Amino acid sequence: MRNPGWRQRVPALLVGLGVLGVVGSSCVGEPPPGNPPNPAPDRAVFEQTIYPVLLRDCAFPDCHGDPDPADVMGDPYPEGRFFRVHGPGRSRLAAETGISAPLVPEEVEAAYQRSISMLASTNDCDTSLFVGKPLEVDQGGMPHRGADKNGRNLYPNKQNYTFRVLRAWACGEPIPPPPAPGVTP
Amino acid sequence: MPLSLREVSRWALAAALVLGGVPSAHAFTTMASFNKAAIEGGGGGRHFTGSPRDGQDCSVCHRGGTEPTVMVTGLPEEGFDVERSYTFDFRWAGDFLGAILVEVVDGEGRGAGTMAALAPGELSPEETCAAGGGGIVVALNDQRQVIGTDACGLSRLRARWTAPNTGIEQINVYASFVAGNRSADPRGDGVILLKRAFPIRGGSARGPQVGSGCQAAPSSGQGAPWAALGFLSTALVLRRRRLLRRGQ
Repeated sequence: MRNPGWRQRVPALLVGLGVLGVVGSSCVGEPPPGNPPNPAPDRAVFEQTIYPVLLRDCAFPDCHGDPDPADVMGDPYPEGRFFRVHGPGRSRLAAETGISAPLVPEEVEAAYQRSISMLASTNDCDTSLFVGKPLEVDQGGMPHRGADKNGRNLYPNKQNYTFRVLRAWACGEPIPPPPAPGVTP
Repeated sequence: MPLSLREVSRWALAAALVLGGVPSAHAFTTMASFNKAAIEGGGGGRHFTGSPRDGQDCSVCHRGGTEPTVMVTGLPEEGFDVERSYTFDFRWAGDFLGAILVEVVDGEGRGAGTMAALAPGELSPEETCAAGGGGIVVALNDQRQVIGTDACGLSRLRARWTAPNTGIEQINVYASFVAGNRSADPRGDGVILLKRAFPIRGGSARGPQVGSGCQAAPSSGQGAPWAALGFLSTALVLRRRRLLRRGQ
């Protein structure tokens, strides 16, 4: 049996396909050369060094640790952010885990998987979402809603120690030694 | 038989419940928790005063509650004098568990002057925790010093700040306050951030000016673009729902 309304839907379908085409072409751009596989940076270094940084700097309930993506507190991302970090003292991966309960291995694994996904957006770690998002735009970073109370991105420049740590892990380089005591990390 | 880390944690929690009653499940109820490693549930060194070297204030975690009022006196309203001591006096009242973090920095975000807690003999009852003690000073990198309180039921913090003797022309005072609702998480807590700039006596201040001298006011400003985004997304959702309804 023919659907009597299909003729009315054709124009909307065509418009939809057109929009998809425009959005797709503007978001995806040129495919990376050679279609490289997802990077797999060191898992142990992530757990020991990177995850604590993500917990400290990203996993706030107002940021990438939103405990309730569908909450009613005016979150402009009701579907939840893609990049999410959970852990002790923050929102937990499982709702039944107490906020102060010890670290759950699944939380590290989830953060690791999301982090390497943030690296898979490009063929160059320096232009990946993971490296670019927390860096100031005028220093080569990317737009990031995570501006602080002073309107700045997480890391002011590429010399910032924490940024260098994140980048080193993302790019498969040795983690740089910490700065001397008393120096801004 | 050796116990695993998880088993030890469970036993420790059980012991805490038995010995100390139900502990607050809130992660940042003490000043010490801000210096605790992030992987252990601490701040990893961040203190959330809202000052430039930290960036965030309490509202990055706590939200949803009624905005509290904090009365402030003792700030150098006429400009500060070199090496003179000032006693900042923060007071709050209400059916909540208040906690405050205060910091004084220069234009670059480095610590300015020295901060000290009052001696035990100077503390009034409303600024003394049941277990003793009041304001706690923590030293950080870049000469920064943060004074704050545990969330132990206080309603007052006095901080003794001594102006620097170097060539600092202006100081910026940051005070971040949480009115906790005694729940197990940061939801439902009220937050307020005070930002004030004071020049050396005879100078003129530029920079953060949020909150009057005697009463902290809401942090200003940067919500407008997000409000616009919120309106836009709401409009899109409503439009989608309308279209779906028509389609049915």
